Amino acid sequence: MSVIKSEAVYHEERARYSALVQEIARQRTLLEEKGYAPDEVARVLQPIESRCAELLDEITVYETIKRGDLSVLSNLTIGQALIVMRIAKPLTQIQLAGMLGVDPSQVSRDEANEYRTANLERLTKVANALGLRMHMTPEGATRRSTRPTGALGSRGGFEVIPPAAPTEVSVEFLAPSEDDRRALRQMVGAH
Amino acid sequence: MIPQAFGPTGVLLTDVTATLDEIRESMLVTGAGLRASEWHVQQRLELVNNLQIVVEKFKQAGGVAEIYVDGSFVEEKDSPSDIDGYFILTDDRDWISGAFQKRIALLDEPGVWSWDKNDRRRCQSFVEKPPFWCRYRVELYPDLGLPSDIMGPDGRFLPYSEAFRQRTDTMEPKGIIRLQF
Repeated sequence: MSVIKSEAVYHEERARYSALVQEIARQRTLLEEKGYAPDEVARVLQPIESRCAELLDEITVYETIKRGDLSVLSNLTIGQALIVMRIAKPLTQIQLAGMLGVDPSQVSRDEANEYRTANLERLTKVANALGLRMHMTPEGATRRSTRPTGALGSRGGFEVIPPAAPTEVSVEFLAPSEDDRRALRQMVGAH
Repeated sequence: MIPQAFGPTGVLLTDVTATLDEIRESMLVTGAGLRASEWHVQQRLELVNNLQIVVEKFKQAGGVAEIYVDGSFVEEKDSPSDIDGYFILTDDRDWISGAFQKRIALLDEPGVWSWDKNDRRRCQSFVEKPPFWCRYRVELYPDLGLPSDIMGPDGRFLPYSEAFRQRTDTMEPKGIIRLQF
């Protein structure tokens, strides 16, 4: 699991977390009753406690995204950012698929791959459906200022300006408010 | 031997034993003959190359009897983000005493090999991950015969040997790979 993507999974994972906390306590008691020293108990439980902590993080991240708070997320890829944007709108995968005119399995697959196999055209369509504008501007051309469309509650747009090397792309975010711009920049980082 | 195709639902039908070279040449990396149209060969190859580095360190550390590879890497998924797996030590006391952890830690940069939840960190991930995941995108856990964090259909927490032989989403049984190393 990388990020919880639906309300249904969120509730399942919350239930699993509660049960897991009890399971860890049960294992701890059993190990102590068997006479393991505290440091030995700690080492035995390390793996399951690490995964439990990760599960709690996933739950917390989902809750944060659903509140529309993107400032806690940083250093994501474009694909990861698109997933976050969908959850925050909020849109289900089926709703997004409907907007894109594709089968829901395509959205599910793209998100499972974190859009790693999606080409720029598909990325742009998804971004547009989420209220983000993404387009390419040849280097040296005057950078158009785009009419803000809001970001997240408002929606933001971003402009891609390719540098001299055709394999590199730089991204600039356009959003109506400084808070939105800051949140988007922080979320996506250098990608 | 790795089969030439997944089962109808995109998983291996039975466990297979394979070397890393066999994995590289198999449909798991090449995607040859598969239905998926966007098989990310390069991504899968990089993951296997990283797994090789990890396995070499485990061999050098010693005391490792078995290594299993599972997760979405052994399913019909275009672009898995990592390789999951578990390992079995020759003697569980090697883990309980901390001796194995100390040996493998010496074989890498400081801080890479830790299973401590407090050593997790963000690394182009939604949540904090173990440092070895950040470094290699490979996540291996010791199977000490105790329940893991993964539930079975009956709501019981399963040991890794059972937990990783079911799909995460549907709990459908699936095969995994036993590494020959």
